[in-house]
Amino acid sequence: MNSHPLNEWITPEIQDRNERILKRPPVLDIQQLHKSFEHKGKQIEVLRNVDFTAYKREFICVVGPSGCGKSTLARLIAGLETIDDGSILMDGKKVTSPGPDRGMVFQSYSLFPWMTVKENVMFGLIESGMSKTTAEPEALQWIDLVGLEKFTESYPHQLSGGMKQRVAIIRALANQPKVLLMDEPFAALDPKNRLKMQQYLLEIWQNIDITIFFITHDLDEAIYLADRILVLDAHPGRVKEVVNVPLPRPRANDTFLSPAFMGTKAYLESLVHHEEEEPEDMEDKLKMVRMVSVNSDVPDIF
Amino acid sequence: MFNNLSAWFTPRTPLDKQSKRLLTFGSFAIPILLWCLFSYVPFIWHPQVEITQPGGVSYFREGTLVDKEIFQKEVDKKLAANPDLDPALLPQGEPANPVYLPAPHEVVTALYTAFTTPPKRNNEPWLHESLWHSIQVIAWGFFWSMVFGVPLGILAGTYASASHLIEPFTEFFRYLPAPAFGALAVAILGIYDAPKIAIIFIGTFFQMVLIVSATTRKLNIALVEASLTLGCKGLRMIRRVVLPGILPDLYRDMRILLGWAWTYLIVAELIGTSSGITWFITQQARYKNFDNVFAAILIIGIIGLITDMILARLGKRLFPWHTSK
Ligand SMILES: Nc1ncnc2c1ncn2[C@@H]1O[C@H](COP(=O)(O)OP(=O)(O)OP(=O)(O)O)[C@@H](O)[C@H]1O
Ligand SMILES: [Mg+2]
Repeated sequence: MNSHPLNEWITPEIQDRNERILKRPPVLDIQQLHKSFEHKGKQIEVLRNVDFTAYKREFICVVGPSGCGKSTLARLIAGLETIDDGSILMDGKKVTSPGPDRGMVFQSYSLFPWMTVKENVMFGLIESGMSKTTAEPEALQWIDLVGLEKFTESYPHQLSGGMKQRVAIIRALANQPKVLLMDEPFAALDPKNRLKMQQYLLEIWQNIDITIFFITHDLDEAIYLADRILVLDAHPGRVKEVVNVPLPRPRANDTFLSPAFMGTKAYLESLVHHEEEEPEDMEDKLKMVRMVSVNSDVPDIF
Repeated sequence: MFNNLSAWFTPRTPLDKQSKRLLTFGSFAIPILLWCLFSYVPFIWHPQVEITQPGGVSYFREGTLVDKEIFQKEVDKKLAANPDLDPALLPQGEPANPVYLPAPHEVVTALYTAFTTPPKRNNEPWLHESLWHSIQVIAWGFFWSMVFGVPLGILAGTYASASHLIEPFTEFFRYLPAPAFGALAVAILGIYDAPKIAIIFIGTFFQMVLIVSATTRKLNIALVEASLTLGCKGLRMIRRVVLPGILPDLYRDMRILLGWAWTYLIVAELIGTSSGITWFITQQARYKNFDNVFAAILIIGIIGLITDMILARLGKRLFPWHTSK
């Protein structure tokens, strides 16, 4: 263990925290998971032999090259895809179908466009058998929490992207799921909004009993948010490594500039981009672009 | 005046208000103008002559229409028999259009008089009664179509299993022309309204199932998946998510299909005992009251256009979240 390149930043407090997390009861247990898709009669293996355990109130980020099966993994946990082989256990029970114990926030905005913000947040509450009169104040509380009081009666199309994702998050959280699955929820936001949303999310996560399983391809985001980062390998998707993030909680504002952060990022980059995807091919294409003559009024400055 | 005339010729570019108004006006004005030209300018078409003075020709009566050549032949005959005949005594007439092309003003008058003229026989309906009868036939046919077509379409669009069970047969049946079932419908359902309603049902139901299932399939799957992860499933999910999710498009589909129902109406009303607006049209054509025929056809168009406009307006109010269209 001492040989691990990130160990130099693991302070005793961080070490202690990590050890405490691993002693908590597991919530989500992924065992020997396999998944293939059939495409034009051929089987494409997407996930092979994935083993992973998430503990109570842990924040997990999943990174990996595009197409390595991150979304598929989240959808399997959510019960939106069928498991080929292996199993996913939620609190010891096998996952077979979607259920309110696993909330999900999608990358594309998935708010119900015909419902106001309030109705969207109330949706899951009512589905779980709550009456309208008790669901409403509860929903309003959640809306307050993310600062959208003014938009309670607005329709989703009247909100900005960041606001929509905030509503999507509280809609999932209002149901009090044990695990919140998030598939690149902030990918469509601009950097400033994204940081704000990340802070919101950490704030909420610290105050409620929930395990977050967060998929991203943004390494900064993963390091900033996660306790542990699950790094997947592509073709087929396998667990490459589970990285402990060597940063103290709560995250400092300048944590992005700390050596520990940058060291972790460099290390993750080496894991994720160890095999560049056909670099020569790209070079060829660029050459072709250069050969295309362009009618230009100004002389080339290169 | 039209500073963005170029927008007229750029694909999929919205027009300014003025252009829109002008073009909408033109879309009605151009056909009406053509009709006026044919009706009022004597040297355009006018293949017949309306007799104003028989001039001794046995079968000419004042007001009858004869072809130009026949009229000329009779005039030539008279002149041949008596070359010195006073021209005032020759048969005379004015260029006229055939009886089946009434002039705009006649049709406009007919739009009014058709409603005020009592039917030829006591037991026959007035025009407004005929119209009301037609509207009821359409409404019932379309109602039963919706009662069965919409749920089946939604099921087929939601579940692959339902789709495989429902759609192949529907796809086949939709190619069978609804009027072909006329005789069968009469044999089974009698000669009154039931077979007519059945024809409208057959004409719209199968299309409706397929169109509704296609619309349902277009619903963003993320909404369905989101609702599944929020603990909503089965028929409840259809009611809470699928139905409201497709409602604006469903509504638009119904508007389009209602238009089809009107086209089936004319056939439907001819089977069994002829009734409704079709009965009025055939009856008036038999009496050669083509102004009334035109008026009745126009009324169908106007009713269709007005209902569609009302439904479109209503749609905007009903679905405030639906920003497109
Ligand atoms: N329903 C499906 N049918 C067939 N193949 C699928 C299906 N869903 C995903 N795949 C394939 O599975 C692989 C993994 O897809 P997935 O969406 O899980 O990747 P990802 O890691 O989320 O990628 P990204 O970072 O681009 O979002 C891809 O090669 C994709 O083509
Ligand atoms: Mg993905």
